[in-house]
Amino acid sequence: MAGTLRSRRYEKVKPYLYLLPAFFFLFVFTYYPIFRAVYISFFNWSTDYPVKVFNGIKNYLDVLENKVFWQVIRNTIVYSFSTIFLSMFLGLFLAVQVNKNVRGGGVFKVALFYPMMIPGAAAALIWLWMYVPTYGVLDHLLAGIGLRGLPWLNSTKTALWCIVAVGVWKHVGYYMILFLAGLNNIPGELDDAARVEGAGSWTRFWRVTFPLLSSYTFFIFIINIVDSLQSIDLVYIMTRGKPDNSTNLIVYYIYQQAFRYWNMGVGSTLTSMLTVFLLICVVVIFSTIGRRVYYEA
Amino acid sequence: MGSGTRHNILAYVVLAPVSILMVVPLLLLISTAFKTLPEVMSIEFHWLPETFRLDNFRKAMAVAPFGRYYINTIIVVVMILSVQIITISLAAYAFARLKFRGRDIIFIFFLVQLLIPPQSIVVPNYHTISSLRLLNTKLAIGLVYFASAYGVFLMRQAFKAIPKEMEDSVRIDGGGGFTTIIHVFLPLAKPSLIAFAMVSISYHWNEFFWPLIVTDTKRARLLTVGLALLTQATESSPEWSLTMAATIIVIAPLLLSFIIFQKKFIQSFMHSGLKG
Amino acid sequence: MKKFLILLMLLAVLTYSWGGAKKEEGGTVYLRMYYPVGVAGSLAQLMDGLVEEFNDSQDEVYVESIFAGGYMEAMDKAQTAFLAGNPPEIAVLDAPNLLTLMDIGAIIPLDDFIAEEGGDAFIGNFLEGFMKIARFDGKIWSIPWQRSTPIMYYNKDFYREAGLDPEKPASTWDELAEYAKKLTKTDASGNVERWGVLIPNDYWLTMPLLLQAGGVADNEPGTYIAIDTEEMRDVYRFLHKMAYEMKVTTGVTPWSQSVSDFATGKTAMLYHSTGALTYIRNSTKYDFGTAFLPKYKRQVVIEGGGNFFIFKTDERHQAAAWKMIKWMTQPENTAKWSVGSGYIPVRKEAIDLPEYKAFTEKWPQALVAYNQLIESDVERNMMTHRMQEVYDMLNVLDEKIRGSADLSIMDQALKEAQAEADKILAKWQ
Repeated sequence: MAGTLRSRRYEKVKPYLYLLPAFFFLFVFTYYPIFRAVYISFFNWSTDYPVKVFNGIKNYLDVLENKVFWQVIRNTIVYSFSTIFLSMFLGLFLAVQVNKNVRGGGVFKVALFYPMMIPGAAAALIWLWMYVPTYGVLDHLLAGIGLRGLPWLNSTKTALWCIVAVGVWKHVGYYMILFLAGLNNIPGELDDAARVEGAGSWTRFWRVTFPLLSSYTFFIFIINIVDSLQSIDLVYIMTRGKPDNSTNLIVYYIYQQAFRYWNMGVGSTLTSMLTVFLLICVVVIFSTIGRRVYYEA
Repeated sequence: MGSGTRHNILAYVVLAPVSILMVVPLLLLISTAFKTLPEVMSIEFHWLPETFRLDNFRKAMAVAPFGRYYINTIIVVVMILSVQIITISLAAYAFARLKFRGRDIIFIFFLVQLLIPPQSIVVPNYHTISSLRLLNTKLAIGLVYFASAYGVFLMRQAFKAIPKEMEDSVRIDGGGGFTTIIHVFLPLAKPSLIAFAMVSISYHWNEFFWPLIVTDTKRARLLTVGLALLTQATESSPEWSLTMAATIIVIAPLLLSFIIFQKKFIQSFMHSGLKG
Repeated sequence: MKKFLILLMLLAVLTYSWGGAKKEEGGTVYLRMYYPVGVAGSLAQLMDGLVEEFNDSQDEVYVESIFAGGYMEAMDKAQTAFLAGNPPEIAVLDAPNLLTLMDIGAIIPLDDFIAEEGGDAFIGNFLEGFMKIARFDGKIWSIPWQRSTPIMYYNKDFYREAGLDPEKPASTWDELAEYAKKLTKTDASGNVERWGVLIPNDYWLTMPLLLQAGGVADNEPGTYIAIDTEEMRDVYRFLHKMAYEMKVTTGVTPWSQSVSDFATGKTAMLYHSTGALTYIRNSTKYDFGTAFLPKYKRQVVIEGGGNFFIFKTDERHQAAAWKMIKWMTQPENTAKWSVGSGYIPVRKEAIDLPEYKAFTEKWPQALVAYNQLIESDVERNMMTHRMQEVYDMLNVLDEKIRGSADLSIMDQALKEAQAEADKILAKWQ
């Protein structure tokens, strides 16, 4: 009798034991930090105050009043949406071409996808070299068509777009692959039926292929937007946020405040704002399309 | 048939130039790495170096201990993957096969991690690592990744697809969960496992920011951080010929592996939909 | 069985990666020294070589030299390491970081050590121009090591080409603008092939201009900086004119890229640190010279560079750190360092040492910075609390004003920057 009781209790606890290792790390390194960041955000903790001093919501007010903060938010949104839109659009277009079973398709796939296998840090260095005015490669190549002297990373008007370009170069292959997978899941009969009905290739694409891709596309889009909002590798190596904070992105801004100015209070405030924003995104995503993905899985 | 060839030509017209453009940076990388500094620092530009010299590579190895960085990176990547496989297999098994209260809610908790990578919570994680006195260790780099929501998600899917009958033989022999996982689930879920491994390895080999924050010295420095350090000088410009040579040293293994195992890599990412 | 082996392997990997601190063997004190120079350049090898020599010369102290990036990164790392409870025992850091380091209690004053060496007699051996920034509140907090002043590099070949005397470089603001106009070269379609002069957007170069215009940068205790002033406007109007009216320079010029710009002949003149001399020497094919910064209302220049700081650890380590500093700053060693780097020797005796004399005979450009130090007024580099934040903000201001073709934004930008600076330093005002 005692044996069965014990084993029944064990059966109840068993699943939690299996979850424990993963959950432990999840809690300590994802959830606990969020709580901690929120906690510290109410304190003044910097080189002026090496010992924490309670500060109420003053950190939040300071952040919201700071012009640079809003500039950073704007930069981050522009960077993230531009990179993702351009990469996805190009990726989709390229996927459609590759899907036509051209000869040498493998070579094209490799050429388009290999930037994903290079660390962001290395890509940043290569492009930093390319962007050097006058004796960098881009100026040489463009001199051929008479377009010399672009300021590239040295102008507030062009610097962020130069970084977007690197982001697109790096990710376009990835989206191409994802769309290839999506395209392959579309039953060929639908496309054939449309063709039989006399629809041209462009119409077929927009009326048949694209709608079937759309929920898949949307999900990928959202996940990657959120991921891209947190970019920092390129900025850290290529521009450090310059010139005039035009390439300062939110994670770099957090790095600046926390690890350069040792303003841990403000750093935590920014972190808690960022994570709360991300959590809201999660809720929104999962209450709309996430459920479908979850149950499909 | 006619429209087929026409479409193929359009495809070539698009794909060929785009592919060439995509490869230009790589060509530049290789070209610069074999030149001398004065050659590189000149207003004229030639693709081919005057002579192919390995000096830059020799100097790169002398100036920074890339061998050490290689070892560090390999250890970190292997460590992360090993622990991840353990944690995600156990968790996936629980989600896929066991019934318990709060199963769905806890699963959602895991999925949240997909959107909150260590990057955004560097500040508090740094403090945690520092309180544990683990700064500057390879372990610190890996700790934040030991729970992989993506891995749990992927393996749960894979485990669910395995028919229940497969477990029967183990159960009859009296084996419990562990045995089942090791002898039934993992072998049968091998494709997903490999896909996960490839994504995890690429992601962590290429990682930069978190290792940068949490390590300081050669003991725990990774390849990407070592590479970035080469460009941080106080009073001069980066030595581009040297930097490009060092870049090749850092990216060569993963890039070459990719070219050799391209199908497998591409397939792994294809079904990921998500990274890391 | 396989399971067990895998677990064992995993355990081994985990334990190895934990990595304990290097154990101190026997009586040798083990020190970690953070330092900032160009890692790929000869400077890092030079530093490592010197440290190795020190280690070989005696048994009581062993120093591990750790390259920590540029000045910015080195300070970030040292600061963060200290606040995490794991500071390096000794570090070469940009000298103005003194106040920040003091605020967090990271460093110790060196007066006791100096007294043991003979007090004022000992300190008197260091060039006084470099000691100003080491003194605060009646104590001495750092020892000069890699010190410099901004100088002007100029391309003698281009001077000849433009009909200018290569031995008479521009010596006033007016001459600078005038010569730059002659030296700027554009091609047929109007693209600039060569700039007359480049002045990077770094406050360390703006500050001498400000002082030359008769302005003041900060106050002695480092609690206030002057931004919204007439002299600052004077400086920016001049720079703006050169960039947008005369078109002889760029609006935005990155600090590190400008050095290779000069080496490749992209610019005829360059304002930069004497510490860039070695890189330029090794990578340019042009005949070049160095000169004092062109003067304006005053002939004045500022000092800059890195000093040794001893971090607060324990007596044993602190004493060992002092031992190392003493050795490194011996005249022969500072001479060796200067010869390899282009930095100014910090010890007065070093100038007269044969190896330094031989070097300056071959490369007279190296002496210019030293002469400028002796012959001009030398002001202390700017130093305030929360130095990193103030410095970044001043650079952003610089990029903002000089990056815009429209000068009318200057007034607003200066006002805002002043308000920002006051806010940052609010606690100390």
